[in-house]
Amino acid sequence: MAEKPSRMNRTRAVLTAVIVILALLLVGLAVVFFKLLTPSGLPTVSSSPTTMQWVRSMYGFGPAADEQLLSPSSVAIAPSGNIYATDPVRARIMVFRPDGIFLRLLHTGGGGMGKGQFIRPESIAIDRNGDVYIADSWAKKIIVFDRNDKYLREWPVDQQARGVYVADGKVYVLDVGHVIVFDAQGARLSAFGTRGRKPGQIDAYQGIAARAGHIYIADSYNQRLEAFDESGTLLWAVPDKTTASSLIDTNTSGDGSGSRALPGHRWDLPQDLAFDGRGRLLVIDAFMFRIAVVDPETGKVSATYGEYGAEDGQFYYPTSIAYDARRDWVAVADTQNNRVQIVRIPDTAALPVSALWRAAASPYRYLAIPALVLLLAIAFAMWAARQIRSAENPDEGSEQGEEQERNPEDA
Amino acid sequence: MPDSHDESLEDNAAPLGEPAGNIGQVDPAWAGVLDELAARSQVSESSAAEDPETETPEAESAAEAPAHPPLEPVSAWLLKVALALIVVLLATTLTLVIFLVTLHKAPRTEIERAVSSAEMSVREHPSVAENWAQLAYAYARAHRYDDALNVVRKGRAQTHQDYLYLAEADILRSAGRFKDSIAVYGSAEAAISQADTQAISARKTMGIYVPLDDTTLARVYVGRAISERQLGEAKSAIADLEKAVAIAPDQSTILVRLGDYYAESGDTSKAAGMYRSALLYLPDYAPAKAGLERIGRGQ
Repeated sequence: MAEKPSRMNRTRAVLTAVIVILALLLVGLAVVFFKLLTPSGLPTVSSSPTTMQWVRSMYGFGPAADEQLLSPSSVAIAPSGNIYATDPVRARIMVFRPDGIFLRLLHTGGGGMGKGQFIRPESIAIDRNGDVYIADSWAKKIIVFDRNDKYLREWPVDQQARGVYVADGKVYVLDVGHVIVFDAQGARLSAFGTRGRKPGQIDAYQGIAARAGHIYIADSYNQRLEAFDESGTLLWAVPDKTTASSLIDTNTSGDGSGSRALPGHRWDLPQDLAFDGRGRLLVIDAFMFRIAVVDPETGKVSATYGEYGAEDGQFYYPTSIAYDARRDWVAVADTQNNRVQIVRIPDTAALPVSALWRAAASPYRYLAIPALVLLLAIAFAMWAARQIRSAENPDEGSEQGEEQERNPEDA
Repeated sequence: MPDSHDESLEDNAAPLGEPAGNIGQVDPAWAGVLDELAARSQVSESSAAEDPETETPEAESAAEAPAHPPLEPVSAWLLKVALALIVVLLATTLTLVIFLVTLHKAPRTEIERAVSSAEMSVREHPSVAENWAQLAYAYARAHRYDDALNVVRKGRAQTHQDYLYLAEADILRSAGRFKDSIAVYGSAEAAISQADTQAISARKTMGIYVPLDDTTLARVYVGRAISERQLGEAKSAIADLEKAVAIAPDQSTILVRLGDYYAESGDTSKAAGMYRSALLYLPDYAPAKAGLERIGRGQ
């Protein structure tokens, strides 16, 4: 009889030791996993809700120079959340998943100017179906691929395809000094604008966006923003100046409230625009190294985010911007830093579930798999224990019933 | 024994030593033995009723066979927990393997890119000392100080460039090993001074009398000064910074640092002089303005 307790104690001790070792192994594995998931050199992210938050940077698909982006000029986000970034010097486009993992290259075999090829993808836009519209500045055309990179169609522009934007079934192309509006098949619908410095004239790089019949231009070389209707009528120009020599807008005429909401703000080289979830314009200024938030009704700047630098979270001549409404974050082609950055700026969200989508795009989501398996294992163990217990004591339930029948008064 | 037992014995047992015809008459000598046998048979009956396994011959043979005894409840639970942990371990390992297979080697941060670019440069051009230095600095930025030191020493052995002492000293300082860094800064100073002297005499031989513009030595003095200050050696730090300013008098960063050290040592007039000198070269230099404000000499 004395042997039985000692055998039980030995069994318990062995099992406990095994559990401790397994738990230590699991912790060690989790630490390794976490270290692999966490890149080295993470920037210090401010915890203030009023500042720009760096999410991640994408440099390419390998360590070699030709496996990385070189001066990416444009960025666009597909409905799936995939991020497309142009690599114009190498005539290709890199496609990344929302979690930053490289997916594939979109290219036409080294580039060319023939049908089905592109040579200098300067700007890209993606429609609701995931079709990719590429403005090829050297081949002077718009070329379209579907979401599976299959060539669909192409059509020529007038002088140079600098910028492209797709909205409401229309394709808005920024040519030299003017805008051309096509339908999705490439049929020309309208055109307006002339090159120059006066309000209403255009001398832009690639920044064009459109919504609800209004067309917005980042008039880069005139250092201003402009808004037109589809007939080409100027709605506003900020700053409203007749020459480009003045850098600071001092015009307070017009509606009496002035053309600046952020005192002292000046445009240096506004390059691209995108709409956020609340319908505001996000404008990237390459020479100010910042993202500006602009009211599309008035052109007034309400806030700016970002700073110059090479570290993650900083910009160096950024030239393109795109917004992901589902994940509530902004993709920026950080051109001179040869990367695409994902950042978040405050108050851009329209969808309340964006945090869930962001979590689903986080690299740390892989850790959920072992956690889920652990929960399932615990649930299974509890279920198995219950099954074993009821098998060991089949009469337990019936005995209790009989006891109650015998002594109903006690009950 | 009570009378009831005698009655049961008379009913059930033939008296020993007596012919069958004498049933009912028990030899008193055997009464105690019979009582004992009856008691034992009652005990075995009751234990058979409680433990059916020992009742049947099959159960008895099973009990006799060397079977594993059933686990007591605590051990059973521990076994289940152990099995659950094994399952989780396997799942985690599988997830890790899948993740590693899909993970590409592209950098994810600027520091990772600096490291990967520098590694490629060293691999492609191992004879260039600057590549080794850049790789070492990249490792140091990633807080991989041991790797950084290994690289810089390997680079020095491979390229025989003594100026890599400076990179080694900088890395030791970044790692917080200030005393070690001061010693290596000394080696760097000696190596660079010697190299500069040779360069100057070579230029003279060629008839070139333009002074050598080498701020590397200034970097040595600045680095050493920072380490000395960390160790509380303020006078040595100031002396080294003064040497650095003598070599590179137009470097506002060095002037401001010297101004800060003067201010810490209590010499505010010299500090103000340094800050104002810095502003001569960079009129909007914020640290210089802040320095003047701190010592109360700002406008």
